[in-house]
Amino acid sequence: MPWTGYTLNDFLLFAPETYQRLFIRYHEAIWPLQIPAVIAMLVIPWLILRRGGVEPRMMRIALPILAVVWVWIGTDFLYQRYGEINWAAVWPAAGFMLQGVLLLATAFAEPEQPPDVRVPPAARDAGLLVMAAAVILLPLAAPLSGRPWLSAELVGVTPDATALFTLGLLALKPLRLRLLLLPVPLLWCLLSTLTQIAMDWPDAWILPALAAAAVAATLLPREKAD
Amino acid sequence: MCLTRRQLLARTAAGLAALALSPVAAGAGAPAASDGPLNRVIPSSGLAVPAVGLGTWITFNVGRDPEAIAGCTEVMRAFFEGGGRVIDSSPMYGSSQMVVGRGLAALDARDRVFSAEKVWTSSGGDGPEQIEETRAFWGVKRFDLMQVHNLLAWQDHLETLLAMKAEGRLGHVGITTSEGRRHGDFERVMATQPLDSVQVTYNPLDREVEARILPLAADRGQAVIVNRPFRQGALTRRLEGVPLPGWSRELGVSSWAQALLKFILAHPAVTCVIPATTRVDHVRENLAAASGPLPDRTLRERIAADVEAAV
Repeated sequence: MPWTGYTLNDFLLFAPETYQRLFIRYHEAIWPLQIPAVIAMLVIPWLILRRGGVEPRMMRIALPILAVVWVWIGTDFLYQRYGEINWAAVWPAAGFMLQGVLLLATAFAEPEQPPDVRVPPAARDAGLLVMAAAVILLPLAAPLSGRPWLSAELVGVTPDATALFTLGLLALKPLRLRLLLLPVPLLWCLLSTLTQIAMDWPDAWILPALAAAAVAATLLPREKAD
Repeated sequence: MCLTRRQLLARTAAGLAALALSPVAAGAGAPAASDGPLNRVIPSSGLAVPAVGLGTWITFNVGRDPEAIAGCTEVMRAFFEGGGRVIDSSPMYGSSQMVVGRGLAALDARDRVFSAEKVWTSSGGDGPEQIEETRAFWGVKRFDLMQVHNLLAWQDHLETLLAMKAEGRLGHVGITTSEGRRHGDFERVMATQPLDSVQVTYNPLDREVEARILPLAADRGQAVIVNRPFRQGALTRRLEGVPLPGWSRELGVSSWAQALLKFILAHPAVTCVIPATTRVDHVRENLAAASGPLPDRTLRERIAADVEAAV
């Protein structure tokens, strides 16, 4: 099929109100799962701050938690719910499930001993800031932009906040393996941003700006440990 | 109402000539309806259909949301109550087909609807299965019109559709495009295939089809369904707050949406226009555009100029 002459809007299959309703109905359907999901996700930055950095042992707790969340969002939200209004949702859903597998696989691929590389302070700070933004700023974006509270993004529950949170965490990882975990959340952020632009969301810049910061931090060369 | 193909072609040709030559083409070749919504005839079959239909792109893709499905059903109820019949959908439109089917079942309207659907798959072999899935969604015995969506795998699909029509499993066969895509290919298919209808984008800002496609449809005795009359709502949104010019009283229109629809319906080659909406009041407003006078050639140009100036 020739794709010339298509605009971004031609790929938007639903009304913005329908997209909002999708989130509202999802939040209503899974309530009160949001509470344990968010708490589980908050364990990750708590571990990081408590220990003063990312340790391989800590990743064996953090990454499996994230893996479960990615698989859950891929199957329940993207495949079953988003798939109702977007026949192409099967692809991001598969991507989320793949990311879950990769997170689980890399969790146990970390060495027992801390590596002789260290995360630069700039990458560490940027990663933590992006994670904080995913937890605090993204849920506020909907009501601050005039959309219903119940349509908000929530870390550990919805795709944007979870993808962004994951990108923030990757910026804190010392090993090259982190690059393997970059494509799926990055692609989702790109796809979601395009959807938001097509829907004329005034806050469509937030996700790509934060994702870009996290990716830049992730790509920063790691330093030799003293 | 049943006319011979020759009579229909003559009438359409006369209408086109009137539109081209006469400053006044009231009803533009098809008399304006003063006693209810305007009907137009599908040339190949002589079947009359109301000139304002209902599109489902975006608006009916609401998933399994019961509240939103109920809203779509109310839109359909108002549509049927207002004399509408033609509903158009596609497998490309997400859950729209399922939502249409739910509405038809709730309103017991399967016998009232003129079902216009599309086949949309790159594999010709998958066409029959997709059509059957679509039929199951609608719950109708057969489709009144099945169109090849955006010319995708059109050779294979047309073969399937024409065979189905010959067997009495389809009412009419057509092709669709939108936003001016592939008009060259579209014309070639129109000129060489035994089509009952074509579906194109047409409104006061998108007039490319006036040059060749609409005259060719008239020549070939093909019905014309018009999509995106409001550019997916962008046009009516841009015109919000713009006062209606003086000619609105002449035409008896109370909104820009009605003016846009009358502009489209005044072209004699146009059979049916399919605006999509989620609002009951808009459905009624759209259907009302098919009643009363239609603009003549001069007035159509003024409408187009005013729309262009306003956006």
